[in-house]
Amino acid sequence: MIARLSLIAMLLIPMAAWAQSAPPTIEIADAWARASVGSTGAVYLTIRNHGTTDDRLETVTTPVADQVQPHIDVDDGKVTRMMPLNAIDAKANSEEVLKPGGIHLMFTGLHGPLKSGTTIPVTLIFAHAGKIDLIVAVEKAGAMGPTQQGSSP
Amino acid sequence: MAIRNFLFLGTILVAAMLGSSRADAHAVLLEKSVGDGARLAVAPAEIRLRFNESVTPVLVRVLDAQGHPMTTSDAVSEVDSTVILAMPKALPAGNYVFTYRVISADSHPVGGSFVFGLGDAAPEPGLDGLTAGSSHEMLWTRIASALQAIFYGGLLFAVGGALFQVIIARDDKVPRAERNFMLGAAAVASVAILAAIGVEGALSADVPLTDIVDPDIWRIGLQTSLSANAFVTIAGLAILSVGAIGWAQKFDRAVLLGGGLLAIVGITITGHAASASPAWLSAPVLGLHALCAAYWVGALVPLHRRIWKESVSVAAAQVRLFSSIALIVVAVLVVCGLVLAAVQVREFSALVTTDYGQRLLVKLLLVAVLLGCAAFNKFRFTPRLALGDTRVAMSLRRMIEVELALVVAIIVATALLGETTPPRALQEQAAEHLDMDMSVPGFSVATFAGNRIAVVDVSPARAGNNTLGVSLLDADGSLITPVQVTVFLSNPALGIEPSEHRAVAVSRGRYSVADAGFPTSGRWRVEIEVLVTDFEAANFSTEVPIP
Repeated sequence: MIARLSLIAMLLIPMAAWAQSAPPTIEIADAWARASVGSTGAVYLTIRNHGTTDDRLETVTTPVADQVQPHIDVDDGKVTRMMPLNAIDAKANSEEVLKPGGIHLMFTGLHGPLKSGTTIPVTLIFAHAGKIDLIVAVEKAGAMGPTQQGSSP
Repeated sequence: MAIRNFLFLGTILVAAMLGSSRADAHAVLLEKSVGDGARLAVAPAEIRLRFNESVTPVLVRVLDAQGHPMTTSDAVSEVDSTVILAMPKALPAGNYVFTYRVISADSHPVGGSFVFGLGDAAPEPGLDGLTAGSSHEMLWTRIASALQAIFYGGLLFAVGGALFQVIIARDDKVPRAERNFMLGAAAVASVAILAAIGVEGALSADVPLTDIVDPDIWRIGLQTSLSANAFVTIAGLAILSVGAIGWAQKFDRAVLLGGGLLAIVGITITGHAASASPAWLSAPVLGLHALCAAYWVGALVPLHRRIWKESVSVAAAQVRLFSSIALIVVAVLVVCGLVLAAVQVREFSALVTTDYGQRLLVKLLLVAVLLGCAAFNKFRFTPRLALGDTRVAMSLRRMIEVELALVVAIIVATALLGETTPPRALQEQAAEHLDMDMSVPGFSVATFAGNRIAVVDVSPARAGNNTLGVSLLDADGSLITPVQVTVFLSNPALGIEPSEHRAVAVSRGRYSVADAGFPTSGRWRVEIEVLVTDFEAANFSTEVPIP
């Protein structure tokens, strides 16, 4: 009887442990912003979904601007149109790089200029992974990528 | 009788201002002819930016990697809502920054920048010439607020002084001291609003302090709606001054009143409060609010003088007349103020959560204290002054001084309020941002398969028949033209099996399903099978929420 119970326990414990300490499935890496020239700014980052289920970036907030909206630059060979996005999918077991010329998080109504060498707080909210707070480094106005690579879980 | 005249004039003012309407939302960039981060083999002849509305270019130029301008203002032109920058012919290979700053119809500056490279130059980590700290916006905003406060003060004392002469004093001739005070206030208000035009230009162009002497900066300021505001108000104050001096003889009182009303109409032309939707409501309510404030504020200085100079009985009669009319005027003032606040803030929570709301709370608090003082004066001092109590005259004068100090604080709070964008305008901008691009009215999501990106947009994203658009891009953001696109819509949670839709090409790289049915609300699965070429397929899967 006891042997049977301990067998069940042995089966249950790893399951419980697995349920409790699931590794963070969404990882944000290489987040950076460009120093602003006007009243708008842009943040770029890499979203990694280590999980086995799809997730989705649904909301972005920051205290440094009135509004944040993801945009995608669509180049049809003649002009680049900016399409606002309501959500960005983070597919299971994959990585999406948000970079200049593609998808970016556009800040409108900046409360002050984004200065190179400073950092800004940005909060991402995913459908499943929930809230992820970031400290984003501001790079020079003409930067095409982050100077320091790194990730925050 | 006086009250009736006053209300009648207020009604005329309201009627006169009906119909003035202006949308308040900043311009938004819709298209640019060069993509961000683009690598170009040869320099384009021109770079075009298309906005959602007509804009006035202030500073549009291309800078090299060291931050040196490669173009001059002569190269900038505009056609409707498109701004065109002619590019120099011989541009060496390298990296460049395109920066723009334009003024939208609501006179707010809007700006941004993007990077492109010419020839084989390696992507550069940054452009040194453009490092931060280049914005002077904060400084100019502070100067603009200070001028705004001085302007409000001068305007209220000048117009209020005129109202006092017409309604309360009814003297044949404005006393010398009061006349000089009104003329001084009118002059100060006029100078402040004229200076504000230059500051508005400097704010738009984002230039350093010393550039205020640049005539171009003033030209930019004159193009903003502030200049219309300034000239109408200055005209009103000039007319008012004619009446104050006594040049209009027996028409002095009509001229004082007419000039004062015109000056008030001037401030309803521009600004957040005046342009809030519905404008037919906001502009007249703002005018009435300012007129009532002027009546109250403007009476304080002459009353303060008269309690001292005039015999107690004369002063007491004027204080009593002022006080009885003030009861109605203050009620109108407060109601108008609350209507304006409600229009701007919309939700109670925004009073605490937004910068604008917090600043408004400070103003409301100061107003509450001022109302307390006024009530104290009315119910304690005014009756005793009427009984001929001379000692009370001194106390009343002290209280008026306290009221004047509070008025100055409220005027400063009002000017600071203008610095921030009200929650109402924020919401409208957000709504406009989604509405402006016809291709993305409802819900849009970027999804991925391998190194392909699909942008799926659903319009209107409500239960029923929808249009579903699919744009396919490669990893660089360039549209690709697939052979065939098939869309499957299902709702596993509701047990609704996939329905198959063949998407048709509507423009280069964009495919559409005109009759995408989402019969009920819920999370709908959208699967897209793309035949990229005859040999390559890409399968996307995403979800669209239907509220």
